[in-house]
Amino acid sequence: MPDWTTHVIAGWITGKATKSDVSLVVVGSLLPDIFKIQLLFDALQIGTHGFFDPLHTPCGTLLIALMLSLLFKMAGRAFIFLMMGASTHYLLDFFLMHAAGGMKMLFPFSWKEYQIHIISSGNYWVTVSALIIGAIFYFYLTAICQKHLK
Amino acid sequence: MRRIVAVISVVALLSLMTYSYIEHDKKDPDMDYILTNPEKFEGKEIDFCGRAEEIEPSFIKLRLMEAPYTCINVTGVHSGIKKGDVVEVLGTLKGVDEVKAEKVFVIKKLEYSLIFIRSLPAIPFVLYLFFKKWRFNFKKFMFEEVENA
Repeated sequence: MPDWTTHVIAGWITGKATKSDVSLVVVGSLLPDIFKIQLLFDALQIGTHGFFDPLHTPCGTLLIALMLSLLFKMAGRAFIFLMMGASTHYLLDFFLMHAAGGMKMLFPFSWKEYQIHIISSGNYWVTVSALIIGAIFYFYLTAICQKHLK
Repeated sequence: MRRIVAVISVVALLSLMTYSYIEHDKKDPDMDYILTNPEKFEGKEIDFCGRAEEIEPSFIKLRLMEAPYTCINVTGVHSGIKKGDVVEVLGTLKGVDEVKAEKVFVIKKLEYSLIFIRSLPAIPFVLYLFFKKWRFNFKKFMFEEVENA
C-alpha cells in the first residue's frame, strides 16, 4: 500500500480538479483500506482466513460506498464521489511492487491477481512527490481564485 | 427504498466475505492451509510474507506475518537482509518449514515502520475535511451539510 497521506492527496487533487465534493472523495480514497482491520487480527495473531479480503476489491468497495452513500441526502452523488476516491486508491495500489500476487480486481468472478510491479510501498519519494504536487496544485488553485476575485 | 438498498448491500457484502472465507483454501490458499497440508504443495510455487528473525549464511528464518505465525527457513536468498526486515518470498515449498526462494522482495525494517508513520497525518486531515462540511443528525440518521461550510 502507498501510505494514506499519498492516497488522500491523490483524492484531494482529484476532487478539486473535477470540482467534486472533496470531503467525500478523500474519504473514498481510503475506503478500500478498511481492509486494514486485518492488521489488528494479525497483531493479535488471530487468523481470519481471507474473510476481510473482499474489502480490498472493487466489488467490496462498491458495496461499502453504496452503504455509506445511503447516509447522505443526495445518495447518488455521494456514491459517485466515494467511488471516485476509491478509484484513485486502486490506481495507486496498482503500481505497487510485490514478490508475487496483486489485487483481485475481478473478485468474486475471478480470483486472479493483477499488479504492475513498479514502486515499493516503502519508497517515501512517492509521498514526497505527492506532497509537492499537492502543494503546487493548492497554490495554483489559490492563484486562480484570487484572479477571479480581482 | 434506502432501507432495502442498505439491507441488500449488507447481505451482499457479508456473502462476499463468507464466500472468500469458504473458498480461500481452494482458490488462494494461505500459509495456514499450506503448512497444514504440505503434501499438496510440496515442490509447488507459493508466496508469503514474513519478518526476518535469524540470518544464517545459507538461509534466513522468517516469522510469518499471517497465520500460523510460525517460522520458515528460506534458502537461496542473496540480498542483504537484516533482522527485522519484512520479506516477501515467491518460492518452492520443500517440506514443512523450508522454502527455496525464486524471487524475494525486501522492505527494510525502518521503511516498513515509516509507512504507518507517514499514514498518520492523513487521518486528522480527512476528519477535518469531512466534518468541516458534514454533521451527523442522529434523529434522521443521516449526514447533513454544515451551514456556511
